[in-house]
Amino acid sequence: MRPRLTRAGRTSAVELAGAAGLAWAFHLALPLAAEDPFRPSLVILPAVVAALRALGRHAPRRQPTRGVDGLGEAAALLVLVLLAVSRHSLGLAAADWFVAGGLVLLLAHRVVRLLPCWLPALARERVSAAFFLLPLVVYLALLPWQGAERPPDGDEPFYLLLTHSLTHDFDADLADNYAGGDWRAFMERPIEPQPGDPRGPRGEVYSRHNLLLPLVLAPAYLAGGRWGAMAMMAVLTAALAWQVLALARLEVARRRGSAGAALLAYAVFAFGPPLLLFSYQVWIEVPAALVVAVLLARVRDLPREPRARELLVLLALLALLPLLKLRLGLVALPLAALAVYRLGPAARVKVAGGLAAVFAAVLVHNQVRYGNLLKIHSWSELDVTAGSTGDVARGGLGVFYDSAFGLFPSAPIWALLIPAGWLLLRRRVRWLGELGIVSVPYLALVVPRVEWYGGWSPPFRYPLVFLPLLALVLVPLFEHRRRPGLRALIAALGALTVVLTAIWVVEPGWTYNFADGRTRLLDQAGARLGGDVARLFPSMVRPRTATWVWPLLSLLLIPLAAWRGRARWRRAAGVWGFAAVLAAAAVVPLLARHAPTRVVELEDAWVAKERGRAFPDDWVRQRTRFASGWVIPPRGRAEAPIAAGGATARLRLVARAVKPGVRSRLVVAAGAAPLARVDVRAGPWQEIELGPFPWPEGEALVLRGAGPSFPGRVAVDRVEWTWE
Amino acid sequence: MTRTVAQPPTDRPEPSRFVLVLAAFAAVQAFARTVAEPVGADESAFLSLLVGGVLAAIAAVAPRPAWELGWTALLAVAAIWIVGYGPHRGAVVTVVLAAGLAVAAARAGGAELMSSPGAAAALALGFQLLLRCDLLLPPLLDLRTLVSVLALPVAAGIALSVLAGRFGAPAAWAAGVAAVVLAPGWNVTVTLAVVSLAAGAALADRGLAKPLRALAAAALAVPPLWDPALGTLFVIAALTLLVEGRASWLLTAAGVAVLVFVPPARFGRELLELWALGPVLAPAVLAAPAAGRVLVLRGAFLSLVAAMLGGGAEVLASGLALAALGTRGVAEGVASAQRAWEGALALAVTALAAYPWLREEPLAAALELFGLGSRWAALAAAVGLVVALGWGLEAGRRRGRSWRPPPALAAPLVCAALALALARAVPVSVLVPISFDPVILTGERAVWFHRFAAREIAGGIVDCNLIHGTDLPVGTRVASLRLRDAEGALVGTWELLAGLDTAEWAAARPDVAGRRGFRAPDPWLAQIAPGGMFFAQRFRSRFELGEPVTAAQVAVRRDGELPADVELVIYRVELRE
Repeated sequence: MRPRLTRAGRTSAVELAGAAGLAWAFHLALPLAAEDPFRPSLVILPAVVAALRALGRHAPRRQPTRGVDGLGEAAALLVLVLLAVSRHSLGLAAADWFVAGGLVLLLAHRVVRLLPCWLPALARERVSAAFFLLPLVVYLALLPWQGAERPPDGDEPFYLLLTHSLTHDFDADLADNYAGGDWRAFMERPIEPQPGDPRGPRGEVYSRHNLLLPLVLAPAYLAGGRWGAMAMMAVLTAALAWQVLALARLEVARRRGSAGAALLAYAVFAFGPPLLLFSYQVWIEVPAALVVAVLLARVRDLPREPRARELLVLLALLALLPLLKLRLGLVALPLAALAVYRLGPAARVKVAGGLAAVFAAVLVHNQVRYGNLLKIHSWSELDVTAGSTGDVARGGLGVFYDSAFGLFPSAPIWALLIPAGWLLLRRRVRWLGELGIVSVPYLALVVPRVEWYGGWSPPFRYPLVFLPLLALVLVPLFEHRRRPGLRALIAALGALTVVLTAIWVVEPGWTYNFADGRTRLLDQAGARLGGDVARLFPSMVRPRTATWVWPLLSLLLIPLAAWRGRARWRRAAGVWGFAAVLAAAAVVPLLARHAPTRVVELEDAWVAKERGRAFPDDWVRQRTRFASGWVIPPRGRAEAPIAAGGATARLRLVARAVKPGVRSRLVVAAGAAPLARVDVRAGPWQEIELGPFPWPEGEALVLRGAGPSFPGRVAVDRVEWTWE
Repeated sequence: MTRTVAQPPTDRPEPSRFVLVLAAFAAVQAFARTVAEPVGADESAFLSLLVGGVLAAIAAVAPRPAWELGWTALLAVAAIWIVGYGPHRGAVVTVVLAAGLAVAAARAGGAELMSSPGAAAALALGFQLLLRCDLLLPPLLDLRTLVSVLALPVAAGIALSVLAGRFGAPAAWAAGVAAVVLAPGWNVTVTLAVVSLAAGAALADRGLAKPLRALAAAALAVPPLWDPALGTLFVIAALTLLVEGRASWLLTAAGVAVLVFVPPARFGRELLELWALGPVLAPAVLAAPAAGRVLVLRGAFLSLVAAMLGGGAEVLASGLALAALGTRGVAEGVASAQRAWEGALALAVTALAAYPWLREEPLAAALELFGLGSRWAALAAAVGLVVALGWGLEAGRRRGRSWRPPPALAAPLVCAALALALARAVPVSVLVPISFDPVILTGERAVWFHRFAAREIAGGIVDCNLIHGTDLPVGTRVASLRLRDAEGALVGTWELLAGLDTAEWAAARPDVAGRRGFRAPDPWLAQIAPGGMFFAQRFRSRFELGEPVTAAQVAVRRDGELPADVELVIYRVELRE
């Protein structure tokens, strides 16, 4: 007997069909230019609305304020769409940012309204497909805007070129693809082979990236090109979110906790950075995290003597990780060890033997095909002892705290991991040990690296593979979410995360930061305020006081805030959370402008410059190895507003001449009053002590290249201040 | 995931809300005091007052858990921090604040808010700040400003809650909204109109304490002192609520008598167009139930007399509010449609009256935005969407068999119709949107030009203003716009004239505006001027070519005859098919 559609199902089907027709009509008749960034988003808008309506209609619980919300959302959507279409006519040339941000917030509002409606579904035996479809709809809704605003970058073009080669040439040799400019199929900027790409004996050029991800993307790429591949990545990301909810639900069931905690952890994981930022991008981290999440579920449920099919699946999943990227073998091995620990003796031998065979096969294939056993650029990449303790501390803290690349600054809600970690430690939860076993070997490899931050990518790239585990860490904490302190904390960090997420989605380029210690967002704030905002936030690339103060303070204060608070404050806890964020926003500019200046980094955006260039070049490899500075040419000038911390100042100028043998001189001045003329030599950085000088309140530091008799350029790393 | 179900409004919001408001104010003030650009600092300081005031209103109105307060504060502060200063930033902040206030009011029960004096006063205060943001320019602490910013909206809010007690919250809401969009905002005339009606209602309440009734009686003495003719009409409107029976018709006669002492200043079509604003704003009066028709008729009559006396649209406030009070008990479908219609108009008026648009007549501009520029088209739309639709739904509900439409359906239908009208009226056909940073044309650099792929052009716009152009006689040619084809041949020209197409950027500054012979067209956008004392203005000049021409280049040339120090600042040039 054929299954019959319910009434709600029929309505949804009709609406979706109508939306598809409307989308086609929009495609034909939308009065926007083909290159308009809103066009693709508006074309798919009817389908997105219909899908979200269908998800609401089929939810087990009705939203309590459905009518009012629906009307309000419809009105807001209409206004935003009209603004998008008519912004040129209305003279709102700079409205792109506002309209896109409004649409993102509207989508966030709908998701927040929908999620509680699906809460009862978590009581069912299987996790509903709605928890896969909801993030998928969100990712697909954001994809056209983000994809248009940000062409493929970092490793993405190389994965796409490999996919292109697989689908069009049926091989992995990229020599003809580079020569033929096949990158034009998905981007405008030309690309060349990467350093370390293996070469074949007949001039073949292979990619140092593995084939597994391109193979997965190939059908979608064949169907829809770059957009198809990105949509496939969105599918994988949504599947990851779905799997994480399944794990969180198991965790809740084991502890007899509330399903709401699992749902909240899922929401943070699926709809916030960093996963949202990676949702459409072609990196191996999301598929790897998906494999880890699936493996974790399997390993936990593993019987002592599993059937052969179960063992085969386990082995296949373990093999996928090194096939995605060899370094992920360091995640596969501990997971295999956990599995082996749970298995009986016979199964242990099978798993260990199977895994060894897989690794051996990969190594042999690499050696035969590419002449490179591990298909890596240099063996030093694997030397975990090369990094000092300082490097480990820098990278380890950096992946969480660094303003440019860390998890907490890009999505502050994840700072709840701190009280969650305390909670787990206090309860001595067993799987905290699992988390350690699985993550430590891999982190020991990537954290001491020079590019611990993951290179040219959105934040938290390397550790993204463990994000599912971190989401699980949040679950026990969210069971206490009605505590006033924790509630205020969730409101404060959540609000900040929503605003930042909107910014990252609207301006995806701002998630890519150069490894010179600067952050685009803080740069913007510094330039706007004319003060050193960045010094208030931690950077592991450019260590400063804030680099150590933030971790220490957050480790102490966040758990304290989470567990404090009187019961009678609970009703207003959310308001207190918002108030705390706004109060912090009031303090930042005042500190930036009025806290005494200690260091001036000349390359920062808040330092006004005439002529000159950054030093070294932005695209130099392993940028973190170099002290960043600014090259001041003859008659060039840099001016930094100074907050005086005393009547007199001693200055330490760290500089060097760019070219040996050419006379290079800098003039140091307080506003219009020259203080010193400094001759600078080429070679290593010189630390030049100047002063003491009386420093008038409000005067700016001015550095000028001396006149024509000193034709040499001077690179200035920084100026340090001591106030007396 | 916590549920956020609205709790009933409370007269005593938690103190934490006002801590949040202070924190938001401090965040914007701190930004204003540190931001590098001086003009940006002045505008930020202005916005800090607007943000603080409107957030305080939201804090007082929003039901628990007051998420809209937190989000409005955060988004407004984020916009001020992130968006570059100027009209765009002002527009974003204004829209966020208006949306936050509207959401708070809607969640708190909409019209039901009128039952609470505190909430009604806070709401009135919030809209006053948006509608009359010029009051936030210095001087801030003089008596006139304090009265306008605080006393008038608070008095109006309390008066509306008194009227809500007598006529029900929906009728008081309708009266309040209709009155506040007329001026717009709570100016003395509109406030006195509402307060006098409330005084009449209070006097009619025999159970009210004597001191309060005495206070109400004293309040009725104020309007004639403010404006003898109009004030007398306000008192007559108030007494209409007090006197019953045949004697009440004597009051109508008294209204006529006012015209004997003050000769009418407005007649004919102009009078009818102004008078028609009443049913445009509160079309439900045409469907008032029998019990309310007397009030509607008297209100209509008094507003006609008031309109004949002359003055702006706010003279209708008393009569219109009186008529709106007669809608108590109107059919549910009509009431729902009326709320949606009035709400949409009020929001549009708020947006257009607020910074940076600052329209002189935002109500007319709002109707034009919906494609209802003609008063009679607006009246037809109001009657059709509110009365006919409401009645139709009522009839459907009574007679329907398989499906009975709920009366509340009227609201989304009205919104959808207005949305369609908006979509139809907003121009979307832009051929060459030429966006650039402002270009200043001087004696040395007199020409700006832009090349584009050859297209048919029928007209366009130029957004610009003048520097040092105060002394230019009206009609002086300041620049010419020239369209050329791909070969360079001239195919169309347009002249920009001082006082008609553009004017001095400081046209709103009292010393410039009061200069003899000075004239400026209606401003297009405003921006806080350096120093923060007044609004700098930019003007939009629209031009239509007789017949479309094929052009490939547009140039704007400053007129060579202008005095050397006169500069033309071009913000935008746009060509349309």
